[in-house]
Amino acid sequence: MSLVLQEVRARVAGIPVLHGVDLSLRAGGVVALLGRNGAGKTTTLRTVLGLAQLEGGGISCGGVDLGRLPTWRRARQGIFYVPEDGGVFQDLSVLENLRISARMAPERVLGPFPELGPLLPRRAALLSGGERKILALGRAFASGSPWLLIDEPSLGLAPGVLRRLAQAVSTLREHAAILLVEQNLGFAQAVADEYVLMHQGRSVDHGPIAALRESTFFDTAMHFGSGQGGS
Amino acid sequence: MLLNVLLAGLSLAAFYFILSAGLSLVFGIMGVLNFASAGYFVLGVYATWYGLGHGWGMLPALLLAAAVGGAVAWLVEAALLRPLYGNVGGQILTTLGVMLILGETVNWIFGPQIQEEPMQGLLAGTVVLGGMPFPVYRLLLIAAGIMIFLLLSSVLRDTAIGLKVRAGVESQTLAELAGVRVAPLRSFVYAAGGVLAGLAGGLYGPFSGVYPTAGVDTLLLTFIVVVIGGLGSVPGTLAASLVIGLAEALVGFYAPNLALTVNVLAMIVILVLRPQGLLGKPPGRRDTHAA
Repeated sequence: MSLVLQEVRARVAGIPVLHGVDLSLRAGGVVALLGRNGAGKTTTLRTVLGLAQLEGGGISCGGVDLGRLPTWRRARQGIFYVPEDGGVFQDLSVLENLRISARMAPERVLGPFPELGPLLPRRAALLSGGERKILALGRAFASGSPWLLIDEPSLGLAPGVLRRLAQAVSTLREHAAILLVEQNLGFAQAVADEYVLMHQGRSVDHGPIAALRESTFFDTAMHFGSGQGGS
Repeated sequence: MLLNVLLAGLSLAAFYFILSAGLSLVFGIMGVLNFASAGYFVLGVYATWYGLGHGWGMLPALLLAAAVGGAVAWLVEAALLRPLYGNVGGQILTTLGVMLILGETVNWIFGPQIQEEPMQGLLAGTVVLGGMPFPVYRLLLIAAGIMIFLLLSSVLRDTAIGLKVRAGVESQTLAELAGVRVAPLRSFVYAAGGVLAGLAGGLYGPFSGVYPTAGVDTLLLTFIVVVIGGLGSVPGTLAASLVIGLAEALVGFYAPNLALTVNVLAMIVILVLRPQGLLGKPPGRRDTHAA
């Protein structure tokens, strides 16, 4: 069972952004979608959810063609999206945020995410950036979705929070396959087992994460000089 | 005397709240000001008048008003508005057209003259408060306002559909990403808005008379309340209703000609200080995840 993108082309606000993205995420796997800003990583995730206009190619999940389904049906198909800002409902409490997409008792989330316990009655707008990211991952866990699309979870977080976040993502991977967009290479290498490199709206290379720096497209796609790597 | 003026203000506030709460929620989930609300309101005015005129009690007459408002709103949403989602201009024009058609239909059937609501029994009487007589009916309005607020708050806070409505009001895209199907929520909220507008119409007749332009007459104040409160916020609508109702009663008592002016001024001042209204969300926090 896999989430498969084949030759995906997509537009955002009428402008072509994706020109051919291929990737395959198998059950239980973690694929890091890497590339510099503007390469089309976030658009790839949004296209899977139906938030960008699919223009060509195909997206399927467990053999089901997602291309024509509305966003809510894709979510019910078991795909959960954690956008860059966490995507939590700011006007709802932490408990309500867990409840709205939960396929399990929200309290079960407190096992792997105990820090959410004291925050349950608090409005999400009042959480810190780190707490909001943990809540977003807690929601992903509560959803019971087998496919998680996580966009830049490490963005703007302090090193201490990053360690906790990596731990949380590791917890999630025990229950779901993850397609991870990440600029922080160290973070991506710590949690992913495969990579897909994107450049100018195309997937240009893929392979095991351990072999990422050996990719002939690494410098081009990541825009690093020889021997450098992102932090 | 001041007690009576304050109670009169509270009764106006209760009435404005019942009328505006649905409008505010409809805006929150659909993004348009629903002019048709004035049409459902006038249907409520005449439904209650019809019920009371046929010997019904106040409660069944009000239930009829709420049912008529809700049923017509549900039909309008299903037949006219649903095909127009995403077309805000088309939706606004359609709701405006519905308001005009409903008002004119009532005018055509019942005529333009003001009819008197046939109130009987306790509700037609007065009680002495602070040494002055005060209409019992206005106390009923206050009680109805409190009940509707508690009921709405409870539905929004404690039920699964209420949670989904609040999520959809904050961000339809995030709601859909959570697997919530927003289209039926829109129908539900729109019909509920019709129920509240019909109920408000039913409550309006006994203190302001029964006439076909009643909906249009209340429209401006309703929009003022919704804008001051913050579009999509029920607690904000309550706060704004209190501001407008009490201001109208107090200013109306001391300087009757200035009541509407003061309400418009209050809206301008509040919008200058808080463009999102008293409890609305800032413009930057609107749906940033939309396709």
